[in-house]
Amino acid sequence: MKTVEPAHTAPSGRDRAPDLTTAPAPPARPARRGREWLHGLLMSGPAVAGLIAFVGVPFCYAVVLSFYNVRLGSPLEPTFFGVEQYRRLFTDPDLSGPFLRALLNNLTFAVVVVPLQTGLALGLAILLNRKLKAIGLFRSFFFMPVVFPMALVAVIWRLILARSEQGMLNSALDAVSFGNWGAFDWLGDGLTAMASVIVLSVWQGVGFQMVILLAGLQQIPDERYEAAQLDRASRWQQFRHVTLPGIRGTLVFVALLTSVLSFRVFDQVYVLVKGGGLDEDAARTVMYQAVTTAFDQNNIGQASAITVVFFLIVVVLTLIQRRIVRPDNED
Amino acid sequence: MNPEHPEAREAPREHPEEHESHGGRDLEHGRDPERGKPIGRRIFLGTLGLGALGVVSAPVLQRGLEGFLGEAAQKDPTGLTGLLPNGGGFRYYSVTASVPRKNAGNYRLTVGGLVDRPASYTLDDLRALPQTRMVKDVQCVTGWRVPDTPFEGVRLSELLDAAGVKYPKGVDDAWTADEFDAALKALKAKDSDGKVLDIQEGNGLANEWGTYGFAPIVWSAGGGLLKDGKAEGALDSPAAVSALKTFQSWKGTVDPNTDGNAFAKGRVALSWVGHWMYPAYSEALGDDLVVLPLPDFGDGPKTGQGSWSWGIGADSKNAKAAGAFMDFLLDDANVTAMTKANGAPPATKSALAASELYKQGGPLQLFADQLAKPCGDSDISKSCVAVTRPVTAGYPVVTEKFSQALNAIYGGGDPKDALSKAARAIDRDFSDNAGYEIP
Repeated sequence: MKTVEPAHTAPSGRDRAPDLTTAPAPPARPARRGREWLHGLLMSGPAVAGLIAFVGVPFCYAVVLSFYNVRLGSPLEPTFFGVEQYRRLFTDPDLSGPFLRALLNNLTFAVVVVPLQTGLALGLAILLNRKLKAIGLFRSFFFMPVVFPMALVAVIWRLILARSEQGMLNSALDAVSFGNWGAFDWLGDGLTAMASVIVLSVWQGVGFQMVILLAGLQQIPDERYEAAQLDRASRWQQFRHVTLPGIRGTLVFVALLTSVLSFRVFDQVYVLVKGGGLDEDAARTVMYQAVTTAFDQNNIGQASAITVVFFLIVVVLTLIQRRIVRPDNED
Repeated sequence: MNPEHPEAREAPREHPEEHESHGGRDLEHGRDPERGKPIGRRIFLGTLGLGALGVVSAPVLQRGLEGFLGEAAQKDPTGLTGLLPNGGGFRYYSVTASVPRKNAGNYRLTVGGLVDRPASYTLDDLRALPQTRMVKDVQCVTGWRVPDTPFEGVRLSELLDAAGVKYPKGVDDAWTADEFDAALKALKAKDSDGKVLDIQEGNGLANEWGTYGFAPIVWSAGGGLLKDGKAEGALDSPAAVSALKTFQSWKGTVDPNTDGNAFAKGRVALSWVGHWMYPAYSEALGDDLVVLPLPDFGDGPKTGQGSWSWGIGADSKNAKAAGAFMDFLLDDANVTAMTKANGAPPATKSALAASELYKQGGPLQLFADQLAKPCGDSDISKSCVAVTRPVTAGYPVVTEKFSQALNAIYGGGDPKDALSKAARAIDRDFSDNAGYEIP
């Protein structure tokens, strides 16, 4: 840190290098400190204000609401409920069943999607990181699903996964298996409902991670590969010892981003349950549970309790994840 | 740049030379034998002429060939001429070994099965019946299309009427659930993909369509969404559970209808929908469209009823003006204009009686007949038909929970479990909110 002030320290300590860092001009220090602090405050100001306005205040408000019985559009005054909403979420079998299932579904989604999507994105990025004619075109094709709204993607995939022989997947499997494939209800069957959601989500999202990883790959200097080739490193060794270390930071970022996004999964589940025969129990997520409770059943108190619990769980998981990856990520 | 600098002076001289040498090589390549000969004017014009000659003479040759092959096919006992490509006439594509040969003498059309008067027709019998001519486009699944193709013959509905096919003529002789079930099974046995019923599954059931379209099953079985402000005992009554079990058993006969055209395109024989599909269906089927009441699950056929409603706030300072505005909205002229636009049954008796679609003798008279026997939202008896969904501020929870249960049942869940769960959730919500009584 202190070595960035050579203008002040250079005249006094030109010959005594060890003293360089320990002998700054004492009177200038508090003023600089104060100014730095002020600059820091000013620069972080917009972000902090945004966080307080859009995360802090709503979260505190949700905590308060979760202790009340609050309805949308009800003429009744909200009544104090104590921890009743939380008690129901964890002990009432009718409510805790779906809620815990939703949590489990969310975790399943994250555990499958994060490695799958990151790995797939890495594969695609390596595939597209070469000098080909019209490589920009290929890259845009893989990026295109990211531009589509999730609701649109869900509607298209509903046609692909539709039960009966009319579904595109079923008819394709039927053709490949020479007519031995009976119709299968991909969305309506409890076993494949979540898998279907995962597949369409990965298809939609992988292009985004691919672009970030592509940028990471292009930052690796060619000399490293040259050096590795001179050392007769195989393709796999080059990947393992040049490529991977070169994009470690990017990979960690992409994995973090994917896991945060995967906790938010909502649109596709909502669209497919409400209009596509998706098995609700097998595919509900916590966000789906919160939104339907709040806006379809008008039960704001219950929905607030769900979001508070979910927020805490996500914060804890994120902290754990940060702790695990941090030592490798320190530059 | 400094012109006196030796390097700077030499550089411009080098470049033109380089360009010249490049140009020289390119010219040599142009004369390379690898490039092939250019196409001469004579060959080009000759090809063009041949093409034009072909265009002019082809139809004549084609007609000659067709005539010859057609003659030959008539006399050919081996059927080998059928293998030759022939643009005209009809071709059979069949996966079976042979196709029975029919002519005017041995052709028979038999109508049997669940009819009062089975019959068999020769070609001359059919020609003696009233003929209908229609001109429609033929669209083949392989992609080609023949516009304005005339068809002439006897309407299927004429033959079915002559055979005495039994179907309900009004609310009073609605199918029972068992009869409906039997009809589905009979249709399924004759259907290529076994899908004979449409319930608008493509729009999903876990939404208001689920409640509007299928709460009538619960009502008709003697259950209800709410009874005296409680769902438990009404929604999960044994009769309601068994009725929805029957509904669940139909899934194998239901077309998923992802394209929304299962009925209009003729893939299914029955469609469980509301009046809003009438315009599309009547255009597709014309006089062959029959409007039936929903099946009776024991307590008489029931139907959903009621759509948008209007209200004036109790504390409104402008109640009088609001009332005058509503009088204006609900006069016959405006109700007629509105329902003409959206196809719904008019909400006043006089406008209903005057409506082209819903009047006595009109194609949708059944709707008017059903509305003439209203149940309201609580007094659901055997004799009434049109049921209003529960009139309560807690309705969003009722419909959410019922349609979720319906979706779970349709997806294969246990009807008893799903309905009890929904009933408990509704009741807890009502008790949390003092029964949604207006304070």
